[in-house]
Amino acid sequence: MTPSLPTLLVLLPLAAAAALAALPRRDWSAWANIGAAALGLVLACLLPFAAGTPGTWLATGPAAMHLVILSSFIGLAAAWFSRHAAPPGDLRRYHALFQILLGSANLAVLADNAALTWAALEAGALALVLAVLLPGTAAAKRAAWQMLLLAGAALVLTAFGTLLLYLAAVPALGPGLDALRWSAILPAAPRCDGTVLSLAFVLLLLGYGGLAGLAPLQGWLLAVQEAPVALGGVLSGAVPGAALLVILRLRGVLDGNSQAVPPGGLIMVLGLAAVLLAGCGLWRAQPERRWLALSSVGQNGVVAFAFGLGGAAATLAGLLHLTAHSLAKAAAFQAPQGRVTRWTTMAALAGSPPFGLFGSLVLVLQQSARHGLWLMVPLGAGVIAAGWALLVRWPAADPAEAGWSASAGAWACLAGALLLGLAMPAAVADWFLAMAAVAQ
Amino acid sequence: MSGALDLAHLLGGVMLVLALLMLAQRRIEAVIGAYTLQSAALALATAAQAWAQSEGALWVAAITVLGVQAVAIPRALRHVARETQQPDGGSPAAMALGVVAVVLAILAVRGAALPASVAREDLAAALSVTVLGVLAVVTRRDRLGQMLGFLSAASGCTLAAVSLPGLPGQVILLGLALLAIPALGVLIVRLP
Repeated sequence: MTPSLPTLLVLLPLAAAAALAALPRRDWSAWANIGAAALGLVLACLLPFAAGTPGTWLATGPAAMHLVILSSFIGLAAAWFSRHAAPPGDLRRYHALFQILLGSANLAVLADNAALTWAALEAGALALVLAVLLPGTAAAKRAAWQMLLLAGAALVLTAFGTLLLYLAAVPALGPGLDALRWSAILPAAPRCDGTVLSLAFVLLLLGYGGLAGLAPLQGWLLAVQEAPVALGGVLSGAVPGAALLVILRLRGVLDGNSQAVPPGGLIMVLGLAAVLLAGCGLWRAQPERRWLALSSVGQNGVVAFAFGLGGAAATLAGLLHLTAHSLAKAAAFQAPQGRVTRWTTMAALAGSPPFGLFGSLVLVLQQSARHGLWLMVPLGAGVIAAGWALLVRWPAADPAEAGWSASAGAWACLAGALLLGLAMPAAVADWFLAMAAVAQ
Repeated sequence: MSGALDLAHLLGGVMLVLALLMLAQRRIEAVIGAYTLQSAALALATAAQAWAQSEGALWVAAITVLGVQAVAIPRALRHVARETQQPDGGSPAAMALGVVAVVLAILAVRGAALPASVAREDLAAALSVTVLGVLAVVTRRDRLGQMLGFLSAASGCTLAAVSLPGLPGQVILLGLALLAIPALGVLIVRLP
């Protein structure tokens, strides 16, 4: 029997990781890594056309497909970039971790099972801890420890939350694997046990919120910046992206149950806290990469806030923001030098008009105004403080441009962000609309 | 059958007390000792559930917990503790915080309308042990002690997993997957 496309998307990176771990030649392994990432992107782009029946373990919802394509695209850019920015020394562990990260991010969003989603995110987080250890310095060891504690705490909370989610779904779906399937829980939400579901939601929101870089466990996203830049900076965004998707799913489940706590407010509080944290923290001087990661905390907070608002329009705004921010942030980590590249990236990241982030920010603000004008005040203040800090305080760089080859990945990501902001072709707009209609 | 379940509840309580002790003990050897006892209690509780639910997979889980968590891990940790000279950690103040956390966990579970086959006591004990483990990770200053906090939290998740009805066997592996976190931590502790 031939494995289905989603299965291939999970197995290909894992097989590539095993192969790259064995490949001793430095010059070949970089190209092999690029090849595997490119093949992954081709397979990901085929996903929307393969209308397959859902399997036992994997399923392809619109939002899941979107995130797989997004992270595969960023993965290819990162693979290209790491040809120029790979750390010195043996690259086998580096490339293996690179592919494991890609594979676990794909599995986390494609998994149609809450326990499998959890396991994939655990694999991704622990791969990042190992990536932080790669430089082998004392600072790297300290950062790896901090990351292990924070991500570990988040994973423990989500493990217990997953068990409670199962317990809540048993009255509706009966004991067995079905009570863990996202696609089964969502329609059965009204018949789930409301109180257990609420308890599960609180634990899962704290844990997955932490993995998404939201307070109070946001520190791991800063600690991971000790890892080589292509892993800790460019690729690490896939883990928060997957965690945010889980939060969106949970929102759908909780919304369907009348006895459970209303999920929106809690998600919005967590998101707003992250936005304000970034708005204040970005004004303090700190190493550039930690500073960029702190800006990710704020932007993920905006996404969570939008998901918390609820409704198709706000969900669309959140997904658009997640996409535009992932692209702009991937470009920012790949733009170490060159005045033009840096200025463009900075503009994209700060949310200035021609880029996608501007449009999505306006949408989120507009949606929050619909829920209450007072909501716009803290959100707008946080977003503006963060954007302004980005424009004013991004440290100056070497003005000489890097070669076209080194910055090609950054420009590809910027082009994506520009496409979302400037052009927004009808096909892409339809794609986002379909996603928001199903996912909310 | 109900006798076996009563035994499981009692053992859940024992695990909870030991988790509180792990929070407060200063010396790492004492923490490892408490963890060994806690793991033995978990193995017994799993066996009691296996007896009550007449479930073969749970018998396997009980034996695995006994071998891995009550024998192999404590031995390895004692070895690492001798090798690396751990500082003291833990404090009575953390234990007071732990008591508050347990009360909150019990209150949280009390409101839930559970299916008849799931005992409130089991779930309350499991949630408390998990929360206390996370609290140990946050409050302890010694690195091995923090990893023992993760181990204790993983035991709490396993206790919950074995008392849920008909949980697919693959999901019980979740508890084992959690052990990867302390394993990685010990690896970092041992790095030069």
